[in-house]
Amino acid sequence: MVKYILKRVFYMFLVLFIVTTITFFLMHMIPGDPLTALVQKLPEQTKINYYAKYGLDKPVYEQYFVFLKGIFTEGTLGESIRFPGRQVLDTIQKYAGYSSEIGLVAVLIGFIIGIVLGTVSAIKQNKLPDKLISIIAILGISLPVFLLASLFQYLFTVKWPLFPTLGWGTPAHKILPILCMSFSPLATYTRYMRSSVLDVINQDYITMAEAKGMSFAQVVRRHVLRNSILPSLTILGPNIADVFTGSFVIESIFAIPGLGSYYITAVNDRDFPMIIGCAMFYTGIYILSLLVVDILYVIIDPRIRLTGSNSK
Amino acid sequence: MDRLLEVENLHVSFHSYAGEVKAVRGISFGVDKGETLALVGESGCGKSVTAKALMRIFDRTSGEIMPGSSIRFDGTDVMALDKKALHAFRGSQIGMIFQDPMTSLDPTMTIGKQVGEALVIHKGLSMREAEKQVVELLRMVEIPNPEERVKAYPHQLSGGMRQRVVIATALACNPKLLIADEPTTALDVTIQAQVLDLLRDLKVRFGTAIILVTHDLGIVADFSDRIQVMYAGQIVEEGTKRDIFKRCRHPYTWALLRSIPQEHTTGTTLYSLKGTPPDLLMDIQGCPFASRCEYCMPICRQKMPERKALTDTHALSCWLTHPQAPKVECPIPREGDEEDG
Repeated sequence: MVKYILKRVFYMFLVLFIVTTITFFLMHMIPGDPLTALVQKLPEQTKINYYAKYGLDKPVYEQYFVFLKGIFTEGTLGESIRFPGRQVLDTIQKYAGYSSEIGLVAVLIGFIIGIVLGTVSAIKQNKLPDKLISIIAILGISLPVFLLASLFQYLFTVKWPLFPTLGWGTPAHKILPILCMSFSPLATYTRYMRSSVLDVINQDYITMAEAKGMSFAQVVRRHVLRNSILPSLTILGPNIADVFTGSFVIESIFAIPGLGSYYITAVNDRDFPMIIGCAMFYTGIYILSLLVVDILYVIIDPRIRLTGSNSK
Repeated sequence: MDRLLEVENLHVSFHSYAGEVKAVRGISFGVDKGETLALVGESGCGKSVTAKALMRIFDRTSGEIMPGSSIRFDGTDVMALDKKALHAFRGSQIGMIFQDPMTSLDPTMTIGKQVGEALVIHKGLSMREAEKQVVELLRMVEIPNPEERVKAYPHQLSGGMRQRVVIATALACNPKLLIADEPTTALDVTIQAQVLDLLRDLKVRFGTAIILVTHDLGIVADFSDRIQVMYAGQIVEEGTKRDIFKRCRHPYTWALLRSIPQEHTTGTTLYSLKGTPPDLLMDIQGCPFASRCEYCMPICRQKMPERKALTDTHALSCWLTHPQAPKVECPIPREGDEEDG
């Protein structure tokens, strides 16, 4: 197991390196650079000085080595060009925190409620609870998140002013965005869970558990859940990673200072250090959550053996 | 002998989109203490459904035991049990062995815990105490190294070993009746023999009654005391082993026996019964076997024959037993008829 994890961590860094490299060259291929707008009206010499200051006058491959050197010797991702004085690493740390306060909580709530609803739905197949839950699931999947957000804002801040419309600071500010963001994962997990519980429930070992004299509630707790949670777990990894980039819409609607909007702004501004920083962060989170999911797999289903671990 | 199980007029139906599938159509039978009864018949004849109905195990699915059915087990009216009593009944009074050991164990749980669950539920043991007893149970079903195997997961065991685990689970609480639903169908031949030997052994040791559900008459011959032949949800012939193998009178039983490969059939084409069983969605008029029967008479298509007892043990439902019916002899050459007397 330990050997496997070490191997995976090594691969993680390899992937991170490759993604970083590709991103680096791709973003330099986009027309324009962070200084174009800034230096438009400045004298020629000042322009040249500016470019030299950020090393943007050098050939791309040379900039790439400077960037790598920065990471390995100083452990820094550099400084934002658009907002001088801001360290990329600090920015990510700060705003990713805000994103996760909303996003992680939302995904987790969606996951837990989705698991419960999906299980109930499957057990009560074709009965009223199943139909009601199916409606929720279909709404959750088909309603665009901006529509939901506007609807919630209208209902809960205008019609019944329970929560602040937008902004950041108090716990009350977080409730609506969390609700909005948990809706889609909730629907997804409900659907995944429903179909896998339906599959598991017809297995012989469930009949056998009942033949032992277990009540159906016991059977569900001890045998059904564990066997049917794997598909939902598979999508949990990517979902967690999406929290940091995919929440852009919600974050702008509710004016949350999350990382999503910084990422988009950085791309629009061609703020190279910021773009590469966000890309690295996102890749890292993505791979890490996949690793965690893979480890959870092994804990939940003993038939899954990780290659490289020879424990039997 | 003491009656352990008494089933009367058992009807089981499945509700499907196409309509009501009447899988079991009014069967009555009994099992004595310590006796082995075999339910024999082809796929879809209702034998597994009958076995499951005894524990009312399809409450959750579309299956339903129809009103009017009566199941009495050792003084208990099984049909009258409420949910809680039913859970206490399952596993402690009747144990069940399933067809496919590859799918009847939970892949995510150690076998020690799975066998132990029954003890935890019925004897109120803690899981830790239960697992100690599980070691003994595993030893009883002749699993080598039981102390280590309790920690194994199902996928680490062979098919035969898994079926032993299933047997250990079924016997964990010393049930009075063991239902074995095709216990050897999914195993290869040598393992089949081992598992059957084990079952025979346990039966003698604990005096457990067994209902063996199978389509393999070979197993039936050396395993069971009495045999019931089922067709289209009904019992067409029943009797002791000897009644069925030596003196059977129902054309369907003949057909079953004729289709067993035997020494004198070597090199010839094996007998096979033409046609298919009737659609269980429909009501059947007359004898259900009429459409495939070589000896079908006009009356067979119009009226269901009454159950007729030939001796204390041997009974069948067939118009051929009627005094006015033509005399038909069993088409199977029978060795050893003489010693039978």
